[in-house]
Amino acid sequence: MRLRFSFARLDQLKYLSHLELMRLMIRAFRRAALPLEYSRGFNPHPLFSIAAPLPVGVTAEREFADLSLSEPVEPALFLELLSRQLPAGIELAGAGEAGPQAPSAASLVNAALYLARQNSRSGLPAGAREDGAWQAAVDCLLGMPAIVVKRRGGRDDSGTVDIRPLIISIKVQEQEDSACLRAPALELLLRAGSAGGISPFVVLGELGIPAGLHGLKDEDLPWQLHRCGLYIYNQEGGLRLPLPEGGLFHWIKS
Amino acid sequence: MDPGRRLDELLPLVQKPPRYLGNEWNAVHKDHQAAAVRAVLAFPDLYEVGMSNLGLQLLYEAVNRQPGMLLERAFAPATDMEELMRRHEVPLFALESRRPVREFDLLGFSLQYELSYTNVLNMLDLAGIPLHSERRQEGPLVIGGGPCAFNPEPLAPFFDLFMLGDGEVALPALLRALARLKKEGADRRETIAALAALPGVYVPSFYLPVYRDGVLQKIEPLHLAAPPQVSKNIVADLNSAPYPTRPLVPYIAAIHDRAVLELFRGCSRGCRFCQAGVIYRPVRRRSRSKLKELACEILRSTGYEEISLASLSSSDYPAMDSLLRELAAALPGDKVKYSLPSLRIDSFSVSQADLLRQGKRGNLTFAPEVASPRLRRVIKKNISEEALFGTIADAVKAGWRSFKLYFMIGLPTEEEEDVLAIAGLCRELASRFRGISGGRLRLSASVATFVPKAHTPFQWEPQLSQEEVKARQRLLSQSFRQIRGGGLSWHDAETGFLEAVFARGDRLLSTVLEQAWRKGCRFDSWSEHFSLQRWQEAFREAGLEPEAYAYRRFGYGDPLPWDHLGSGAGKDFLIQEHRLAMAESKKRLPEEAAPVKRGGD
Repeated sequence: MRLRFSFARLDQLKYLSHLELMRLMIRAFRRAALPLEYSRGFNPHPLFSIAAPLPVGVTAEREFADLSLSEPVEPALFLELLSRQLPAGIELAGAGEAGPQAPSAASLVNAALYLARQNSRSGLPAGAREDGAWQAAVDCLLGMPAIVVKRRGGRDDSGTVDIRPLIISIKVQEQEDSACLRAPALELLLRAGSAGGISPFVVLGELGIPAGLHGLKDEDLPWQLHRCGLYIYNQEGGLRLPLPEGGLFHWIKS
Repeated sequence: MDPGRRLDELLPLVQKPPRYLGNEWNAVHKDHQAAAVRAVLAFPDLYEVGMSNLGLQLLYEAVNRQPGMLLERAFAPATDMEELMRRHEVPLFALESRRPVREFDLLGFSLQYELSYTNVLNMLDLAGIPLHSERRQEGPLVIGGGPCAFNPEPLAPFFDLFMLGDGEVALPALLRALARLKKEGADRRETIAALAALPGVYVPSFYLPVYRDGVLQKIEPLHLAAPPQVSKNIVADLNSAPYPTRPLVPYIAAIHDRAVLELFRGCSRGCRFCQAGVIYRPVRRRSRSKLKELACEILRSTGYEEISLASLSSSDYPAMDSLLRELAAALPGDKVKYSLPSLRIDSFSVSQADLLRQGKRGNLTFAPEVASPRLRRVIKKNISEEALFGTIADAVKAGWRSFKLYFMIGLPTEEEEDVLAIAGLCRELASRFRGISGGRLRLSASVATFVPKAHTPFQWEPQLSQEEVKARQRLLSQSFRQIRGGGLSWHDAETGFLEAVFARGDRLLSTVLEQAWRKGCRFDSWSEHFSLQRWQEAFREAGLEPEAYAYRRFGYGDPLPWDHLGSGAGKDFLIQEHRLAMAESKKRLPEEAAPVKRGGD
């Protein structure tokens, strides 16, 4: 059977890479003695996939993943068995059965919602701007017909890509925290997943915000990046969760 | 500011932040208030290297299982993190609690290899602990254990004491004694003197090496509690001794990402260059039923997919086939892979190999060390050519295509023809088996440089000069070029040289070590950090010559800097072994009169 489940990644484990997160999960499945289904061929591996890789340094509250089991396991039981084997820093949010022919979460998900917030600190944070300046910067960026950045990675250094189509929306949220009056939170809805996505760090970089890891001078105030959710986005502007069709999804009440 | 928070702010700025988290699966976070004694195990290399060390896992669980005591870990921070720590005045911290290491009662270094010594000094400095034992008033006791404790003299001024031999019983015992001494209000001096009475404990400040004209005369015990020779600790029964059944599971890929099962400790072979074989003696095995029990628990508590059956010479485990079959039957059927490092050519069988890898066959590794019959007898690693060819033939027939062979050059009595024989052997293997394997045989040879080690029959022998080592490496490299499917790698001659200097070193070297560290030497076993030039300056400034250490030939009667440390092998035995080796060298057996014709010579 195929299980789709949702999980959160908290602060303690936000520095794990995608591969490290995969390995963590697979070991947890084995500790829970779940009847894993393996791929065929020379190097069998569990049939497990995460809907969209989570960038290093980003916490998340509603990620999705698919797991194939060789024997049926009730979603509620699955959640209980697996929770016991997960370290602090990963929490399960829910699970449900997906049909064997149903498309994978990885193939469905095409959008991600992020919240970028500055860490609060006493004193004026670096990167702070005048009131209204953030909105102006966002409007300016979104108003551009194209945002051309260098293509990262790959053999082809000369390549550039226009990332404007990959940004669905950016909203400026004023924070209530008085220490951060001049540093509001930004809500970014970006394309993600196998059809093509953009890293939130790149977008923040285009807004002049140094948020990526490495190369940061430690005088720059680190921004916290949180992925609020993964979605299926359609042209009419609708956002849907990649839940399995038909079946019941068992959410854990927190 | 709370150290944890300061650290959290540095994490986004460094490579591989999970090195510094301390929240791995099976990490033990004990309450500091409830512990009568608190210790840190410091591994003087990067997290990824230290976490692959079985000894670390063993001691971690052995201590943490005991009530009233705790053990946390500290590793050498990578250079990017070190720079930030110094800049922001964050002292060396223990991973689990993030408390500064200097707040603990005991700081224990795992001394696995000589080139980690500058990291030891660097970690002491980062911790804010005075480098020299005699200058410490308060703060943790600084102790050392592991293979280098059998000749730790270059480190002597920096350590309060060393522990020789097995640690899984002795370390908890020492911590219990320390807890009691703390409660009784003993001061530092009294504490060290009391601990010196424990078996296997060596307090360097209780001994004085006496020199005349720069030559060591003797090592004099200065204290009533100091025996003329310290005996190592031996755990007699490994079946009842602690073993980590809930090992730490790192998030980032350690060098080896699998469960480790120690089949037995010690080695019965007695190869004459090998120090591990001596210091881990006597051979003590775990029973098959115990191993099954441990394997099941470890896989259950970790979720690992691979289990390594480790020992110095794993295939020597009696009835290995039965063990493998029983393990396969006992372990949950889900695709558990086994690996058997350290295979002995003459006790390995392909049926074992088949039980090991399900599906994809990786590498099979053997260590012939030498390729000429005479040298085989000299080093007493007498695996005949037929045995090697036979084993590889079986493996190739069973489908194995990739082999790694370990060799060693610079051994005593070696000549150029012995070095060429290595290439000849590989050439012969390649050509003979290429046919059977359908042309896809991969043979990679890794050539180490002999380092004369303390407590071995070759401890009196000098190391081959760097120039000569490089010449022999070049010779091999040229001969290897013609071998199709063959690859050759070797150890850098300069690091091998420095290793020999410290392996045979005495206390005088401690000034060089400190000077080298002050000049910025760190991570000496990493080629991107090693700087021979800085080391040479350090030697010059200390007025010492490294060649005098690496190239000195000792006489049987010469006092050795490690004579006061007992490895379990008496000097008479070692002398006898050395004599036999030299005698073997002079013999020419009839079959060696006409060397085997090798194609392509």
